[in-house]
Amino acid sequence: MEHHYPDFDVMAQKEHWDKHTQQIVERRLEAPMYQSLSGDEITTLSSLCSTLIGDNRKAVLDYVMSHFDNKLISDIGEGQRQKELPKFGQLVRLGLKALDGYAKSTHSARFHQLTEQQQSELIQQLIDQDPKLDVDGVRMKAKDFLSMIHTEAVAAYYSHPTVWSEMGYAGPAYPRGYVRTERGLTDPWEAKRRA
Amino acid sequence: MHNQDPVFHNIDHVAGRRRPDLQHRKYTDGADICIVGAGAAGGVLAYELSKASLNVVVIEAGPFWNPQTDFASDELSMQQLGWQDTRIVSGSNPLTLGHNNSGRGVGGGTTHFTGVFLRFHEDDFRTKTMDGVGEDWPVAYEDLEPYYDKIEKEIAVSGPKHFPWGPFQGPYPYPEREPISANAQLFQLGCEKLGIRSVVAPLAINSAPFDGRPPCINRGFCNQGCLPNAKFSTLVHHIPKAIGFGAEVLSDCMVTQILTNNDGRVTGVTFVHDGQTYQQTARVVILASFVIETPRLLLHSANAKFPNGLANSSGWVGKAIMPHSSHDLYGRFNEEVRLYKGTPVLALTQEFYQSDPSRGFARGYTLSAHGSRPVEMAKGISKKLKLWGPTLRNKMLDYNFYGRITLVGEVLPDDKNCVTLADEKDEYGIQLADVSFSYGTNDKALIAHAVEKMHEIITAAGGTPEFLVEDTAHLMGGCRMGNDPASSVTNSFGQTHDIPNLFISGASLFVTSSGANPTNTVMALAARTADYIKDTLNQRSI
Repeated sequence: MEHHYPDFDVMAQKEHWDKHTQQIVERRLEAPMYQSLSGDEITTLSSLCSTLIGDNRKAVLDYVMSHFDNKLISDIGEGQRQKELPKFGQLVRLGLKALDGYAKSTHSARFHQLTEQQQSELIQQLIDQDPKLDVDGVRMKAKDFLSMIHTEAVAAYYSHPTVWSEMGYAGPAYPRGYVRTERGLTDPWEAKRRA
Repeated sequence: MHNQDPVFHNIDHVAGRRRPDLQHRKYTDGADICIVGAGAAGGVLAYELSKASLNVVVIEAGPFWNPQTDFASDELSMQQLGWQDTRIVSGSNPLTLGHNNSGRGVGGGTTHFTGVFLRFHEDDFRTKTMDGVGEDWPVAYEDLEPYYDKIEKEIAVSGPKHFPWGPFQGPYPYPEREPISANAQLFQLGCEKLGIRSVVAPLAINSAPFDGRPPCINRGFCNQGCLPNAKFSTLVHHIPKAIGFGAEVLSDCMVTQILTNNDGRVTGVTFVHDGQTYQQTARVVILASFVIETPRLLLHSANAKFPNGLANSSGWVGKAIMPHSSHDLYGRFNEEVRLYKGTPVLALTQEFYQSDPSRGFARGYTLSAHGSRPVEMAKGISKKLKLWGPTLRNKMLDYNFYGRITLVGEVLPDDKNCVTLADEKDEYGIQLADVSFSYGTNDKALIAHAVEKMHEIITAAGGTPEFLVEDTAHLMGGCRMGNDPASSVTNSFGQTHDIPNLFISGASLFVTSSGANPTNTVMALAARTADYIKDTLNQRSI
């Protein structure tokens, strides 16, 4: 996809960041080491995330997948959960199963086996019709499941330095901060639009 | 100090004074004061009461953060500064909790608030009398004024020479911030063109060196924890001073029960650290654990003598919680705005703060120019799958061209908006909080008016309004103060009507929400409570 800042690489600035931030961001470039997701879950979730964020580049998707895997093994709470929804882990796993079931019923194939266009159309259909999905005795609305995956996928995707670079987001700024903050001004190390 | 496990490090920060088993603590045999929660209110109380030579123990569920090694310039990882334990949410407008409106760890919400430091106006304390809505507070502006003065001076709030709205018109202790951000400039330009007065925001952020902390470097990550310590938090201000005066801070310790005796007085609390349960006894217990955990703890601590929960003879524990309506409007500009640069809120207007019957709703709001980062913006504009796939990605590639205005709108109290106990239990065997919230008619009319004004300002500044994000900010109420024990939980000092040595402090005491950021009022009320406790303990009347 075309963007304004083809010459900007936020990671070229990393030695100007504090160590803790460097570690956090650099870890996002590592390949996933799955501890929770496996087999069909990985292929389905990966295709679903790719559809929802509109980007199928492996390097970026890898981090999105790591984010889900980490969340699934974490014992940190969910912040909030709507009364009628199953717990996060259950929602993800059952939802993925239900999505494959739905794809099989409409296209006789699992979700990741569909073309990108078919995947997008199927997601649009689920959003528009919001059917109740039944799986393993649990009932959930398609949109509740998709919305949860979307929110988490977006949080991870927009935390990836490649995506930061494309948006011209200068990212971490400690210890140096910003000197030129007013309209029309940029610090020398910030992204410059290609004329 | 090197980086260590964020959950367990700093537990023995009072070097040489504590053994790892926590059986041997500074005040094992009993303290004068036990404060639950080390946030905005708990920090002020710990400082004031330990300074008065009282033996103070602060028990905090989260870690004792070290900004240099625990904070980072990163949105996603710093979600951990919010209270992430699961709460059940319900109602027509289920709230987003966690980092959105709460804190966890020493400093509480002040570690990640924007630092906007406003006073409430006179009318905020008497909405029933003035507008026939909500309820009057048992305190007036005049009661809090000396405490606002004190707190603002104590942390060197920066702000304009002249503040045109409300009873306090400046000057602030420290000069206003400059330079401001492009987003704040555009906001002020739009306001100017429409004849709306606006100012550089009063902020609890240093505009010049203060108290050993440097001025702001416009890094812009106020909501992710301030790394240079230029922004005030009780983590960097009140708590270290309190420890200096002898207070003990027990971090990573979750309070699970408030203990009472046969006389109906509280005797202390139980808390869990690392799987072990401990007791802390005290003459006075103060709950400064915010709007959800305070009622949850009171309800959960029910016993034979207090079957409906502690301090709940009125039935008002957990009731009338309020967020602020906090819709965002993103506008696209032809120039780069770069919402990531500078302190997030550097300009605001309270031109629409006062009630105006001609508008068709009661009460009012503040509008702020408000920075944003990629995760927040992308999550916001795509909420409920409004945008996804290549459409979302395309819009976000223009991230640098968006400006944003955010609402802080008054939400009226409604006893149906409440915290109750859900069936599901947490790791300590305590029932989860069920938090129910729905907007009322007046709230919706106020939001509609504010959104129209936000559209006008962005348009006048040369932008095109594109994305309206429904959101809330802050939480207030749930243990409201009042003069009538039948319809409130505490008196005006936060002392519970039912149990004289049990106090509540913080935003949970709020009777109404106002249309302004609440932290200044939280801290002023806490300082007032501290004075009251000092006086009554001296007179031995608690």
